[in-house]
Amino acid sequence: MNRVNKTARLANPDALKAYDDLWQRTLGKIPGELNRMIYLASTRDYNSGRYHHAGLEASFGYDAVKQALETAHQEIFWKLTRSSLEQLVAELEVYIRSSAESPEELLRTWRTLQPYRVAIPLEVDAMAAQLLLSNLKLGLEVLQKRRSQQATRP
Amino acid sequence: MNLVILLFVLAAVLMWASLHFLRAKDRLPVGEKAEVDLSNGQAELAAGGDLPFLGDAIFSEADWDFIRGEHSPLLTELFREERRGLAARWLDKSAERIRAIREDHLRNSRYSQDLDVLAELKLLALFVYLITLCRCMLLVVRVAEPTTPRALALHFEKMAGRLGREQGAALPPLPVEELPRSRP
Repeated sequence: MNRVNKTARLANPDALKAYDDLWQRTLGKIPGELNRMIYLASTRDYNSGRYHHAGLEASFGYDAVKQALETAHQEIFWKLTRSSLEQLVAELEVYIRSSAESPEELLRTWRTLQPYRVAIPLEVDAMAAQLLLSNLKLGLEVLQKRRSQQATRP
Repeated sequence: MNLVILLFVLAAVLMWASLHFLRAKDRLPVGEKAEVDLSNGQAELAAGGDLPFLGDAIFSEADWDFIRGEHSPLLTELFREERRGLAARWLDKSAERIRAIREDHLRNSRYSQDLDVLAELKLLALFVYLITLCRCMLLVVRVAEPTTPRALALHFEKMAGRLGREQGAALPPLPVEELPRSRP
C-alpha cells in the first residue's frame, strides 16, 4: 500500500488509524484483491450506499470508519482495474478456491446473476468500472471454458 | 469510381504507415517504461482515479495474446465484442471531453483582450486533429482486431494531455471582474 497516497486521501488521523486497523486485522488476512473488494462491498448498505463496520466504529467512530472503508474499497478497485486479464483470472481462481461453494455452482451463479456488479465502489469513473466488469465477465468465461475442457478430458 | 478506390487505398496506406510509425515510437526501454507506469499510477490514485491507463488497458495486446492462447473461437469472439464496445464508449467519451474543452475555451476567449492568434490557430489545429483521430480510431475499431488502434490510442492520450496544457498557455487567466457571471 502506498503510504503517500493513503495519507493524502485520509486527512483525518482517526480515519488513518481505522484504515491501518482494517488492513492489519481484516484485509491483510483475506486472500486476493477480488476477495477483499467483495468483502468491502459487503460492508456497504445496498440501499443507502453507506459503509458500516460495528467493531471499527466502536473504536474510531462512524465518520473515520466510513472514510477508511471507502478508501480501501477504491484502492482495491483501482488495483483490480489495472490488472491484466490473466491476473484477473488468477484473482478469480483464488476467490473460487477460498469460497465454500462448489466451483461449478459459483461459476454458474456468477455468470448468470453477475453479483460482482454490486461490488464496484460508488464514486469511481464509469468507464473504469465498465472495464473491470467486462474483464470479470471474460475471466469467468475463461474459467468456465477451462473447467469444461477438464471435464471432457478422459 | 477509380478515383474513390485510389483515395481509399491512399487512406489505408497512410493509416498503416502512421500505425507503424507510432508503434515504433512508443517502444520504450524497460527502465523508462517502469518509470512511466509508476507515475501514471501515482497520478491516478492522487486524483482519485484520473484515467491515463484506460486506453492502454482497453487496447491491451497482453490481454489479446492471453485470450488467443486459450484457443477458443467463442472466447476470442467474446473478447472482440467486449473490447469493441469498450473502445467505442471510450472514444465517444474522449470526443465529448475534447468538444467540452473546445467550447469552454471559446467561451473564455470571448472575454480575453490579448489573444495570441498563432497559439489559437495551433490550438484549433490540435482540436481538429484530435477529433479526426477519434473518428479514425472508431472506424479502425469496427473493422480491425481490438488491439489494432493501440498505438493511435496511446498517441491520442498524449496529444489530449497536450491540449489541456496548450489551452492554458493560449489564454492568460482572466482577472476576476472579467469572468462571466452567467452564461449569455
